[in-house]
Amino acid sequence: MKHLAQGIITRRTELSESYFLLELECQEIAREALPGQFIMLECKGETFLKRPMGLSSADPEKGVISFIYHVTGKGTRSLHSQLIGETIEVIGPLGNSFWKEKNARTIGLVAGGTGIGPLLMFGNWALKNSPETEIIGFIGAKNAKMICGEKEMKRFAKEVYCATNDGSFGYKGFVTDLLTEFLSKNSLESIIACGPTQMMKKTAEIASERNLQCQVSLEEHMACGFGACIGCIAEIKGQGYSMICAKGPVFDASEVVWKESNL
Amino acid sequence: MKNPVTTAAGTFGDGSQFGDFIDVSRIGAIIAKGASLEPWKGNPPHRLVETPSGMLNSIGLQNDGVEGFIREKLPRLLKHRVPIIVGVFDKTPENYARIVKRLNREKGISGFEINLSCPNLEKGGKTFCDYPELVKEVVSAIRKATDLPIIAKLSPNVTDIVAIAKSARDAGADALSLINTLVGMRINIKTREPYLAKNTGGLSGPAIRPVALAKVFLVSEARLEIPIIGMGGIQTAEDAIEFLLAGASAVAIGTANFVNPRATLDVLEGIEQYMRENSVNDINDLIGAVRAHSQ
Repeated sequence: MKHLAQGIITRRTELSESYFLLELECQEIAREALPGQFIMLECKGETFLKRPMGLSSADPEKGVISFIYHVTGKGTRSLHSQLIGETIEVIGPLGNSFWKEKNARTIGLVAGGTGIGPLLMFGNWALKNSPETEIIGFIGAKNAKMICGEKEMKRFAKEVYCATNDGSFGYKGFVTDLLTEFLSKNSLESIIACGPTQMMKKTAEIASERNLQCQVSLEEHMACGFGACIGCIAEIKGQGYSMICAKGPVFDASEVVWKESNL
Repeated sequence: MKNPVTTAAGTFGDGSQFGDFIDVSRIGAIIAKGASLEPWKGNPPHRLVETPSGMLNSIGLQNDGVEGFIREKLPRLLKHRVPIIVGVFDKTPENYARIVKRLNREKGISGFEINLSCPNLEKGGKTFCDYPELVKEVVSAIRKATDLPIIAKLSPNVTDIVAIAKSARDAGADALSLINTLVGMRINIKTREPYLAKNTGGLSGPAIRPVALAKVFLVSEARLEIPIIGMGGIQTAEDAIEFLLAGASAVAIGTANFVNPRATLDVLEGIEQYMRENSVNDINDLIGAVRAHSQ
């Protein structure tokens, strides 16, 4: 069930340069949210629409949810200025969730930017519910300072590899190049990618070339997040335009019609 | 309608999207987006972008066509047990009439809202609602096709909205929806590309509310003896009451549904509270009760 709820900001943690994890006390959503789901979040200030944020955790016992944000525009700047103890209106949990492929024991998680959030939630879920699963993490960023969530991912992943565009930390290049290199020597049975669309598109190609099952969590401008505005669409093979908020955000990467307009 | 709060077409899905948030059966009526004759794929992304106090959209009237609507959406709409007004849009007057004739065969529909903001394929792409004669053509064609109430939804992007309103009334419209979105645009200065794939789109939200209110007032002042459903950026009961005072007999909640899925009932409860606090027993006492300054 979707809720229109008030969340109380309980903690803000800086994960890396301008990337923050925000925890909200919000019982209704914490009870029901699954990995891959998102919330629509009020940003106050000059913003009008709520903003979609992929959940990075949901603790039903504590009644706390969290998400990761990167300060980029009006909405996130306004969100960043909110203080601990203040309330924010949230709608959630929204969308579908990641799924665990049967028999997939080794899963690669490919993260870019705030895309790390939903993958952390999936990894922690897998650790608890499917302990035989082996997780290999791949994190991409512009530079060392912007690598986000490495420490958090190491809590459940067997190995975590990082890539930076300038080579200031880990592999020099794109995280998808790092993934290709990894796959030339090792194997994965399934991949889940969450991050910039270009990164997910490339990951989908890499998976497709190797016949690997691959899930992606798509992003688009959204007005409502619950299937009323039909604004956030992706072209899905054989189905025309599908709503990302209602049919996704998680799609089988092989079903997505990837094009420039997705970017 | 058991109360004056309805939904603007294209903002309320088939109602089921709001079932987790509100008791949909309390709404006065649902104006549903409805259908064109054949399915329309809609526009590519990006379809929307935020603006100061509002948003721009270019969804492209994505829909499954009238048969798809009857099969999938209409049964879900009718479950809410509120009057259902079905939106109708297409590219020729004949097609508008054909859609309505097809929908006439279905039970439970309370009326039609004619979206006139489509390009007329037979008239070089001129938008119907921009020309009194084109409005007349469409409304007359639909009038001949149905006995159910028809509501003409007018665009604010015209010089003389009163002339368009008269034309719709004379052609047989029973009510008017005022207003549809305003044409707007945003450009990303990093990429120098418009944010929307279609370059321009329809502006909605509180940004257009004063424009909508003025159009309602102007048409109401013209004493055309035709009820008006006021819409355009209404978020709260206070906003809605302004529209009633300006001359609207009912109000529709549109973009606000996206931000606050409880908006329809918040407005309804707020109007009731205002009436109690101001000893207004009959909502008709508010309609057109603005004390306009004499000119």
